[in-house]
Amino acid sequence: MSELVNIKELNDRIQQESSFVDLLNIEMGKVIVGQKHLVESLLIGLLSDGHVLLEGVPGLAKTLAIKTLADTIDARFSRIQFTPDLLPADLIGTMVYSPKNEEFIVKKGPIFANFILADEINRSPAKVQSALLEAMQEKQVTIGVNTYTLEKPFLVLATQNPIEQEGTYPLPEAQVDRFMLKVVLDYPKKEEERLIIRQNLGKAFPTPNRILNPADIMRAREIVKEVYMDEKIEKYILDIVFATRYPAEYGLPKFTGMINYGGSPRASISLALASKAYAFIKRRGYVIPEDVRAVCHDVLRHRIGLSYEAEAENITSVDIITEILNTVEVP
Amino acid sequence: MIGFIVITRKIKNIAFVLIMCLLPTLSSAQSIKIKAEFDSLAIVIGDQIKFRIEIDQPKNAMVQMPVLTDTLVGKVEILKAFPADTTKNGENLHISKQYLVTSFDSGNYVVAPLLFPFKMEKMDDTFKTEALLLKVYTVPLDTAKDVRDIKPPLKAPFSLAEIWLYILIGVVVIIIGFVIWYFIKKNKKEPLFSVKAIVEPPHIVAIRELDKLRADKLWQNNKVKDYYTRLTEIVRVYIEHRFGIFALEMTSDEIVAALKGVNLDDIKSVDLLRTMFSAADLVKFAKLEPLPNENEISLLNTYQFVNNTLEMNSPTKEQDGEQPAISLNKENL
Repeated sequence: MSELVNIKELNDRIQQESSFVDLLNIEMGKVIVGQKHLVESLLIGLLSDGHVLLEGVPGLAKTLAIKTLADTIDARFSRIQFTPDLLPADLIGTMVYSPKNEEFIVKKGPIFANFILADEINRSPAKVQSALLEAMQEKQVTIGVNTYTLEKPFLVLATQNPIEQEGTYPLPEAQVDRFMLKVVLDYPKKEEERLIIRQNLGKAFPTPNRILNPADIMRAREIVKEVYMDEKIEKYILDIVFATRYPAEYGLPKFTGMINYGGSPRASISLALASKAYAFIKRRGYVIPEDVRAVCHDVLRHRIGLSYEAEAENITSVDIITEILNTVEVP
Repeated sequence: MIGFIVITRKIKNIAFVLIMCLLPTLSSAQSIKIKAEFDSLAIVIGDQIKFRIEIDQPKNAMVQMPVLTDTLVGKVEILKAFPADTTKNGENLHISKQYLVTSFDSGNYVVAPLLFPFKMEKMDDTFKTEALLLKVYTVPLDTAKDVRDIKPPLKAPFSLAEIWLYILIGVVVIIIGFVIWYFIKKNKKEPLFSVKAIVEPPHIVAIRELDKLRADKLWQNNKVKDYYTRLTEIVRVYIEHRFGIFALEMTSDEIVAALKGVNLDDIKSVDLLRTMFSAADLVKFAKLEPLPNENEISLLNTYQFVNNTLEMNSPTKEQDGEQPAISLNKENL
């Protein structure tokens, strides 16, 4: 009975605490037209302490969306354009000699911010990518002999371009796995694009108001962790992730030779956490199967390794996830 | 006396002349002749010609042939060695040995004299052929013409002789397969009367299961979650068989949306179902404990949905025993 009361209380509390989500959506909506899925995914990443990898052709407001999100929160924002000649020191900082004090002083890099936009992350060599991804994982950076903890919240939003692959350094699978979500963006609808044109040709480009501070985000993260997840939902998540590893056991033997490796335990954790964050955004204190299905593609699409056979048959990881969702029984 | 001496001398001279005349004939019967030659003394690169060795020898002679393997001389290659051909010619033997040769490099090639050791009437000696010259010319180039690609390999003409064995094996396999299939079929005892499973209409199954759920009194025994789990499963199985919607793999909202796509006469039925699903989701995923009358209402809503959407003209169908009848069992629930 006590648990029942807690869930009811939690539900009420979340309804109250998640009210900022509507405000945030309104503020972002001032600047970003359409791209509802992108905005939701950014919020999920923000609330579940997970980094987001955005993929889309140029001009889909990836950078603008991230910058707008940072503007709505009283937080530090850094944009790093990844180029082939970028060095790890350009990212994390370095020791410079101060002639005045006759000593080396630390010059912190742009990674010391709350929101990092790593633009075109696949344009830089592996050593720079590794420096960023290590910081994402450890939430700390070592310069010289000193280790510095990064500010909270620390959220990396990386973008990569699916075209112009020549001269790029694709992220290794192990490093892609560190992104909680991989969001693939599509073009806006015709009506949305008409509004975008009008907005850009207007006299003044709208600016969002600051409605949150980092402490609000940290508190919301704590509440997200409290969102109730029933055993049935846990089993549903496990079934989905295990179906990516052993498809034949879930009635999908046709995918057996097409998957080199399925979702890792990190995928299960991310799916559970993202589902909770989605439930929070929907202002619910408990997770339902809809929440899992809503985030499933973004959580798993970069965590399924396809074989040569799958590529030859034009089967994508999205096709596999969709088929799994249509096969695994919903609780 | 002087005359006798003169006559004797003349006879000796005549005898000497006769002997001298017959001597070459006698000696030729005992000699060995060996000849080596090409078909042609000049060829174009890649042309194939024959190199021939001819041996004429007495029967009692033993002549040893030189061993020629893959190269005659320099870049003159032996492609094929034909077996020696031996013919009898009175007291002599004629042996002919041929080689097919070619060269892929232009130039003048001198075939050194070939040595043929032989043994005849306690005499050992070696016969030596004459040296031969073979000229290999290159293909004349016409620089006025375009440079063209190498011609592809020519296709060999199809020959039935090459594949008859495979065809035979294939035919034998097919015949064996047919015989096995025939005997299996012949020995398979078919029952005189096949048992046919009765396939009940989905609404009959659903209503029976709902009756059973009510009789089990789950929520009355504090098993509210089990009660709603079974309730939603019954209705999902019903929707799957009644409308062909894969409801077991869909969420509550997806099922409601899919039902709206079906032309239902009574759209209120979907609203009843939505209410039941909402309550069920709260119980299953949010540990909600509804009031007793809410549990009853959920069951009644489900009954009503089934009654309102049942197929009026759905007679009980019969199906062959091999296919399972549509029914709810513990696996489905």
